[in-house]
Amino acid sequence: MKTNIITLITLIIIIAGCGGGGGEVSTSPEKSVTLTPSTEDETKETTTTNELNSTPEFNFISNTKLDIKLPASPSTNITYFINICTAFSTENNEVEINYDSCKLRTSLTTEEQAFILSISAAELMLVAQIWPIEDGAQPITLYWNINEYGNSWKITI
Amino acid sequence: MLYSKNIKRYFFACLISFHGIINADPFESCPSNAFLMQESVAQLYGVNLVTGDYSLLSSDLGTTDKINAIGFNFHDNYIYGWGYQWGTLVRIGDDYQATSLPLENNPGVNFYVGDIAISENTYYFYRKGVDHGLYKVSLDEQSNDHLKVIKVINGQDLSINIYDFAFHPEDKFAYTVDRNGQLYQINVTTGGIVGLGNIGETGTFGAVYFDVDGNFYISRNSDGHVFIIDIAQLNPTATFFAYGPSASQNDGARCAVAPVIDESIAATTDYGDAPDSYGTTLFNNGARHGVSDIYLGSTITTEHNANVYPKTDQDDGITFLTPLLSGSDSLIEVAATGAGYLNIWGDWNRDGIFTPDEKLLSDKYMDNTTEVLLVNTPISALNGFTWTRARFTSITSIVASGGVADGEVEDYRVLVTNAGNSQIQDTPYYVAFEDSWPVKGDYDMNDVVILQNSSLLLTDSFEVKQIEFQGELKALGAAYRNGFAIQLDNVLPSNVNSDLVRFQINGVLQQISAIEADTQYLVIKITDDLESHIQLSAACDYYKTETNCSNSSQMTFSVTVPFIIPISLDVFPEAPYNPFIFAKEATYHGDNFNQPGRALEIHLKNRMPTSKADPNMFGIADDNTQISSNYNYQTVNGLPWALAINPGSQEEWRHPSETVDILQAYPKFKSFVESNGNKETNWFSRINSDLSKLY
Repeated sequence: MKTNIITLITLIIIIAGCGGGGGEVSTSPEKSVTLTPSTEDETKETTTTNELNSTPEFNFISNTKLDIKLPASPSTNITYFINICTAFSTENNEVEINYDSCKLRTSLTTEEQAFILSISAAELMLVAQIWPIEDGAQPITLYWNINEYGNSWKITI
Repeated sequence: MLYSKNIKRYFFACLISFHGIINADPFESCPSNAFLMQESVAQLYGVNLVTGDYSLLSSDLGTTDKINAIGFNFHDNYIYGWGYQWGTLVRIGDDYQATSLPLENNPGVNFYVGDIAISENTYYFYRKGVDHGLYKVSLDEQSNDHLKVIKVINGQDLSINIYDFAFHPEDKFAYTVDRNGQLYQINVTTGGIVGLGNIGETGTFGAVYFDVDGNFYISRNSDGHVFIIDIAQLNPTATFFAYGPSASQNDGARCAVAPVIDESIAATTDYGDAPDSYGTTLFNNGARHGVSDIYLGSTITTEHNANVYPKTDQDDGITFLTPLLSGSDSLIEVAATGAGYLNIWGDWNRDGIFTPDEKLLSDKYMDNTTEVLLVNTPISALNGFTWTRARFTSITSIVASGGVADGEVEDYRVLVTNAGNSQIQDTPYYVAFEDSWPVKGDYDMNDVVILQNSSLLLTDSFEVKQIEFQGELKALGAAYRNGFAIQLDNVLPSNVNSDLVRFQINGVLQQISAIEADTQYLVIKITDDLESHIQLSAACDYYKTETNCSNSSQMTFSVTVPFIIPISLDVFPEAPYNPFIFAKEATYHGDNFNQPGRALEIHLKNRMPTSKADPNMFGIADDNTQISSNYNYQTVNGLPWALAINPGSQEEWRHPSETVDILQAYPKFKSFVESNGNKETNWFSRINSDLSKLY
């Protein structure tokens, strides 16, 4: 209730202020009713969590589900292992991965595999690195970003 | 601290100053390093007992013959010994030049066993045989017996095959080990001797030393191995301590009242950082290396003593490209600077120690290279996270603990799985609680903050065979005392393979079970009292919530829970699972209940209570829980008492400072809440915060 009263008062002040502004408002009448400024003011006015309201179902957790489909192994003689990780950097076309950040670590099998990963909404890019487990191994490195692929990633090699 | 690669050897250079050549001054201080006299024309070395690292102090001591039976005189800071060229006592000052001292009643033969007492300014020297014995000579210029030799006991009555002895810093006795490994205590006043048992090592121990704590060090001529002996034990035994210099002729001296670590100078030793059960600190004869041009990766850290997990070093030499696959090949990448041999141990049975046979790699020679290596993990290795230790040094066949003169040790916590298994690592959650339930709190959300990581091991049928939690207490702004636990909803505790559960706090294996008894669903109880695991800083009421109240103590935990029958991933609960705090037994937890104890639980919104929660507590004060609707732990406005915040792997979430409402710290929280999570899903990010309001 306290929030509603404050919001109402704010709207009245804003509208009154705009309405009394004279010619500038009349040339652009839509602006006089826009609620954008009032939204900012609402944020300022609600200063304590105690004033917030939530539906009983909402659990306050945010995350992103990512459907991942892994390719079949290209070889039946050599095991291929894949790491899918969130923390990495690239420099001079070389990727450096923090393997502690890997969300999925598994071997490729003779068939495609599907996984659903839950990641932070703050994570916008992933790296996949596929290693043949053999002497002198060289990895295959692939990337996912949410803007390009959305919430699914079909990895192909 | 990171250490320069072109490290200057401090050794005695930092401890010793030169004041002249003709009239040598004493050494400036009582040094932590030991002296070692070698060669048929005497040469003096400085030895860091911690690592065995040594350097030549002087190859010209002004003599053409040996000097033996040396001792460091605590009373005047000179070294004394027996000069073979002159057949008498010599004194060595900070110019490293031996000056002969004429003795009254000189026995007329040479000696190779000698030391200077701590309790008196007297040099004692010994030679076996009926014509010789134990002698003493006062070095006190004020004494009537100054430089007068007095025989304590005949060499037939005191007849032992020894090559050096050293005085204990406190008990006035000299100690020695003969070539058969027999440890002796010598009463130099009477010449009486007491056998203290066999220390389990044999050989010519030509240099022996004490440190200020009464640890006895013996150096074997043939291989340079330094052993440490706790003479206070009922049956003292020798424990390998460091790889020192070997020589056909050795004699040692040391200032017995000095600690072996000199913290007044820059650290020159690298340690590991695994839990101390693996041998990490010097106290536990941890793995350690003198810093040199040989190391793993591109950096090396130096410490006076080890940072034990959960504190960590900056290790960069080994990358585990795959988990270690038991019974199968795995890939690691090793970066080595300089030439040396790499050994890697793994704690395959996860008992907290590295045994000699728990090896992943042995004496792999590498020379300034970065290589991807195939390694094979034993099929007996248990699934889950365990510790590995990599040591890179110029010598071969080293063990997992003890000192080495060069190289580096790096400890890694790594995952072991079976080939064909998959690991899914859940995104990390910061679980933040208000502990005032059922009364609304101040919403600073820092009464308890836990960083909770979890990972699942899946079979090739996509069934969960094991779950592991790792966590860390990030804040404790609570006035009440709380425990912490995690429930896996709908998972039965009877399905846990209890024998293989591993529970550690701060890396120390716990003897109590993490599986709570008598619960309907599986509850992993980390602690009954979070506060008991940390030390509050002076003048601070809370842990890491108040401005200007930093705190170096840490509380981390890890629990591995394997299941007897793997559980389908489709029905397994999802992260963040069901973490909760509960009231510590027999403590005040608000006015609504009288010491409610375990029955008072506080969960994330809409998570189910455990079977140990008291249902009569619901609906009291501000709580509007409706169990039948699964609307749990929320107010009438739908507000929670706990949040699970998921910032991803690249950013740590910072909780609000004490009494700061989370909405003030993170203004976009309002939009997130009022949109039911559809807007401002990154409300918790650093860029969306008011940094001045965060701890």
